[in-house]
Amino acid sequence: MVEERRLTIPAVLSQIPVICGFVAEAAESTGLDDRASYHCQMALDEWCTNIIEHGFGGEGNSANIEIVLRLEPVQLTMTVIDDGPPFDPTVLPEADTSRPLEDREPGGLGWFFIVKTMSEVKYAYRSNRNVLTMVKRGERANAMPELAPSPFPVKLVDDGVLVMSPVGRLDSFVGRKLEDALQGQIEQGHNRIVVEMKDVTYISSTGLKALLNALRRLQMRGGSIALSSLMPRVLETFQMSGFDSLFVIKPTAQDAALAVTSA
Amino acid sequence: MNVNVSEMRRVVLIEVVGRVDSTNASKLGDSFNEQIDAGRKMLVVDLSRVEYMSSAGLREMVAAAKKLRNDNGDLRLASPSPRVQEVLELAGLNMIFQVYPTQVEAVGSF
Repeated sequence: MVEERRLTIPAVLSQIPVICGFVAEAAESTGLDDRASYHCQMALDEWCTNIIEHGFGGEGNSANIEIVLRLEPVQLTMTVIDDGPPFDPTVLPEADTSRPLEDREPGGLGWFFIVKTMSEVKYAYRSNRNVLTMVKRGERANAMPELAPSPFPVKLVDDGVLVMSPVGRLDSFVGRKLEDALQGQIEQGHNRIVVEMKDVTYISSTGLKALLNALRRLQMRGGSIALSSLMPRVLETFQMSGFDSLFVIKPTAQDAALAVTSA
Repeated sequence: MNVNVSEMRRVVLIEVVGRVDSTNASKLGDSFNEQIDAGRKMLVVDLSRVEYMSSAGLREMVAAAKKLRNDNGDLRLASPSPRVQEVLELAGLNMIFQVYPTQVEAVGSF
């Protein structure tokens, strides 16, 4: 599952926080941890600052910077394109971080941070534009994550599949609670989830949306979700809305757990 | 970014809050220079509430420390967050700056 996000900004320093926000959100969706997200923000910030300050020789022109993010599970590829003068950073001498303060030039650290924190960096000059591609790869968490606090019963079954069992009417109020509860477990690192719906007597569009958002979040992280034990009335809502084609729906929680494990 | 300056008897405590990047680092530099120009020689920069700092922020701290050391003063750091600490280490600046775990220790070090 690969998603692309694009942002084109005017080449002015005041856009740097916008860029950082944009990349932090993307890093979070790929499942990269906070530390990796910080590295991505820094790398993009340093490179764009460099383009604005040196490439375009300061602000006050109408140049743009184009940023393309490619989101894969625990991996973010950031491509920055600008039409400033050709500048190949890969030929710069490496900053010497062991030198004493007196010998330090105040600059030169930006590129150094990029090289040190990114998994891969490539530069090309194509069609009169600088194209810098930076890849950040994270690690999948191996340890079994803890259960996040939940308003609904949750348990871990075989192979670390999380089963959540909401109760009652999934209306606009409880539906939102379900969305938060699922998101809480996903952020905790659970990526194989079964929602057991044997005690759900009604589902509104908010409830459906909660499940759909969990599905999207999990797909982005290479995880999966399945539903089980739907009451006939609830199943009918799924069929009428076409949601039954989006989800794996099984008669029992065990079947659903098996389905997410082999997904 | 916010910069809170407390002028104590011997030391000036500069508390930085929020994000420091190329849009606002010069403002941080201005705060340092204001103190240096006023003849203050002992600066402590509290980094505990810095969420984010790019090389632009480090550059200002390096420039101020250089000036101060030329005049027998110093700029010392207090309680960087783990992310900022990592950046200091990557840049080899943890060897150059005196870094203290708490504000009290940094102020007391002068």
